[in-house]
Amino acid sequence: MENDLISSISIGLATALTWSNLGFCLGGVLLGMFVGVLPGIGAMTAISMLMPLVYHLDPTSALIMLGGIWYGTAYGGSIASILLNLPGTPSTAVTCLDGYPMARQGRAGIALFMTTVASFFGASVGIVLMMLFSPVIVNVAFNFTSAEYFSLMVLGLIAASTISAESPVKGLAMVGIGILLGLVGMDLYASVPRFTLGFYELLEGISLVALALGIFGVAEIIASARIDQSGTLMSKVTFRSMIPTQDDRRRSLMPMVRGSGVGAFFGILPGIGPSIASFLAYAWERKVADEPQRFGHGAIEGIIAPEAANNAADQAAFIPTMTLGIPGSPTMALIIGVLIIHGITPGPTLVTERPDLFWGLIMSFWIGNILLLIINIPLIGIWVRLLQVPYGYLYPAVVMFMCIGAFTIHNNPFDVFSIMVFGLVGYGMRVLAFPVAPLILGFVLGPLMEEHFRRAMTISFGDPMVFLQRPVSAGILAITALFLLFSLVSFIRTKAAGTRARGG
Amino acid sequence: MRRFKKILATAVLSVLPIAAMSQGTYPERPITMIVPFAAGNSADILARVLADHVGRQLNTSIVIENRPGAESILGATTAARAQADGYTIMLASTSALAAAPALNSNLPYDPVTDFAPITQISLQPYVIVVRPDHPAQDIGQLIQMAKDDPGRITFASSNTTTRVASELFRSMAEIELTNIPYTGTDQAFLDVRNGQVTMMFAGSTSALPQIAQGTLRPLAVSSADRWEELPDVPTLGEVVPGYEFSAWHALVAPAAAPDEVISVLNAAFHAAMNDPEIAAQVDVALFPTTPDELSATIQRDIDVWREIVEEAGLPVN
Amino acid sequence: MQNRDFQDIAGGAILLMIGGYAALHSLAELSTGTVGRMGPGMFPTIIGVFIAVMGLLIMVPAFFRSGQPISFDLRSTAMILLSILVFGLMIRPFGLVPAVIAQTVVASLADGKRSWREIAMLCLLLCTLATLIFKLGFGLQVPIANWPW
Repeated sequence: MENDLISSISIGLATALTWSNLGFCLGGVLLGMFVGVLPGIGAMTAISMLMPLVYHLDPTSALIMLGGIWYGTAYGGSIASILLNLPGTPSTAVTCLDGYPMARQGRAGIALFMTTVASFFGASVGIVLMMLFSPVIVNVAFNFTSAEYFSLMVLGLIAASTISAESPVKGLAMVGIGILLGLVGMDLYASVPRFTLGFYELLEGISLVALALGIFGVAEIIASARIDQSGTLMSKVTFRSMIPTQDDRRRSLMPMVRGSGVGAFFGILPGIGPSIASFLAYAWERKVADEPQRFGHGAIEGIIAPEAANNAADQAAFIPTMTLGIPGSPTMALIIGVLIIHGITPGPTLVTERPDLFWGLIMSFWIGNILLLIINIPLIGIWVRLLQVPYGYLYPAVVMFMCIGAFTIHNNPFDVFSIMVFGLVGYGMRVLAFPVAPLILGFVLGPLMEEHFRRAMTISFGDPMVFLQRPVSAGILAITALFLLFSLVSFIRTKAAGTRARGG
Repeated sequence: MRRFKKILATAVLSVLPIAAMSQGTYPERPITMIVPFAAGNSADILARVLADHVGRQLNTSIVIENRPGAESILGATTAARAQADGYTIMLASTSALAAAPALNSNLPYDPVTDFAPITQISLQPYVIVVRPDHPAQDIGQLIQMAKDDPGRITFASSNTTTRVASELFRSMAEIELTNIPYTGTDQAFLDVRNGQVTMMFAGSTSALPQIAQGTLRPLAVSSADRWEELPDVPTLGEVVPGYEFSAWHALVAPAAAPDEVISVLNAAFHAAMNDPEIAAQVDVALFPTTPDELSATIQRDIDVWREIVEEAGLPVN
Repeated sequence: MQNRDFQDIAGGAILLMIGGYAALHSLAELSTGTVGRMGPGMFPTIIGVFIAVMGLLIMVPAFFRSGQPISFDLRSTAMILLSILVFGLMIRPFGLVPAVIAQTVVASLADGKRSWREIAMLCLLLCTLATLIFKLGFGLQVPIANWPW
């Protein structure tokens, strides 16, 4: 086994380290990072843009480049989140919560540096899992049925409501609004439109990208356009200003480990993506933190965990794609499409039939992530300088990028109008002090929850015991119950302590 | 003044077609091909491969304009309202031209009167698959099982087209089946493989590799003839007489497009589809037809779909 | 400080309306089905009721406590949203460059501290950037500039 692994690694390195493949890897990660920074434009856009080129490449090189774009976007997405409170990709939306306050405190350099490190760490965990445990992991994913998915969504939603601790009721209300927005569109079972207000554009639902751009990005611009921030953000950009303090490093280690674990787990489940992984990693950090009140005000744990998670998930998503032939996301489906164009069938036999491709790809992931690390650190200085541009010039530019990004989702102005509406909603939520993150998580999880609940119930012919009879599903529900109980107890305790403190 | 403008406009308008004709050779400028799917989708790849070939033949370029969304309705609406000068065409599928009209009573376009058919592009029959260790050894046994225990046999549908294919089977075989809808093929495959769902109608592209690897077992194909790749698998029509179902892609132009343009495009796309290099690049079976044949196919499938939708009790918006 | 928490009164009231609308609409227009075979209306009805209850829980206590006044930046909101609106209306008929110019000018009016010269420079820069990145780089499917009439 060990010899096998070493020979596999050397096959992989021999493939990945050719000059041309290194070039494709570098090209891929750079393009990925670039589209990641641009709001609304993501891996899908970049990959489909390169489709014509991909025909003429050999499949390994093609995959190395497309893979680079895919995980490169996660690096780029966090840059816009931290500097401008504008999620470059939905999976980095949660990074805004603490990344942006860090930037406002003049700690943008540290935030960017540490997300780069956390991203690299998370990606490495994903890659190691892929190398060692692909077969085992595939079995887990294979045996996840709608009952397990439903239980997992319930756990996710309960966790979601704790993302904002200011007021649990407001958090829950926003989860509800998120779910409601997620239900807009054609009902899967009965093929009737729900809440589409007569717009054909809404038949396939509200776009997550438009929603995230609107309630984070546009709302931020409205709130900050008239506040003169120049000079308050960053006086100097030196290499020193990127170096995390002792305290930062100490706080970052465990969130990185936990985040990677959460990300790797959710990454392998088809249909669940890096977005959900990053939100849940954040919720978990908040739950285990000694001082949860620091979250939302620039807690470094709040950017480390989700960044490790979304990168781990990005890598782990390749496991079911390559070994089961089951893509977990539209982007992965595109990647399978590329394999099929070249007459290669992803599936259990891929690893034995095309070891050069499988191991070459895995090794290229690592090389790509190392390249990203090396490229990113000197670039941080340049990105942070963006904050020195007077805000009066910066914000109209950001609005332009958001408008064009929204337009490209469907090549339709409808999504531009969507970000306008969601911008108003997001700003209204700020004005009335409602948290934004639970809404996004509810939006992503709610429809999945409904879909899997209805499917599990139909498959079991209406027997609700299905959720408790399947051991994994029952286990997840038990954890959820414990979690609820724990939250309730700690809530009552803090309430009691608060009353005593005020009373005394 | 207004009168003068009107006269002028009429004059210009009446001269325009003549001017265009006197110039003669269509096409004189790039052609826009509306594709109501996202870039990178299999239909988009099909469109791009063909557009590249046809563009070179006609000494112009064919620009792909992706207008995805709302089950092709948005793209088809755009195409229906485009200028009928032959410089806008659309590569559509069963979704826009048969499914949408059957499922919506007030579409913004009419699939028959708003479009001039050019040629059918592909024909995509389905294959019924079950998990490898399922007790039914052939499609006849599956039908018998469904008759013995009505409603216990479930089928996965990954979109409206596969759902209608399944409902048609259900109604013609006179059995009861329970529909389990999915948002995509992939989770549906997983659930068929791990036994959550009994069967599904799957497209050749995604199903054949899994059949080859032994993770799914074919019971029947939905086309009129058996497949080259699966010579031992019967057609569904052999067991349920008269059953035949296929999805397709087709090329259409706005209704008033000149006949000359239609025939130029028909010939050019046929040449592309007959090029063996193109056939190797796309993963669907190419199926060139005359405009009249396509027109008949569209009309027939709209009728079939309407009937199924009504019979299966699917709501019409 | 105000003698009632108007923030939460307004927020709760809005939630109550949204939740109520969602629940009533779902009950009226969509079928709820049974638990074993849920119809399209079941889940939205539950969610609607849930939101409405949360709205009440937020609104009622707010009548009995003091709170922050609501501050709403009307000018900024109007100009930023308007700039997005004009972009969306102009991008198809007029093309990329006119849409970007209109959007930039309107958005700049939100803070209103820039001179016309500065705004013009910004427009020039953004049009160049947009054309280079999106039109030439990503092959955006709109013309650079177009005159629809």
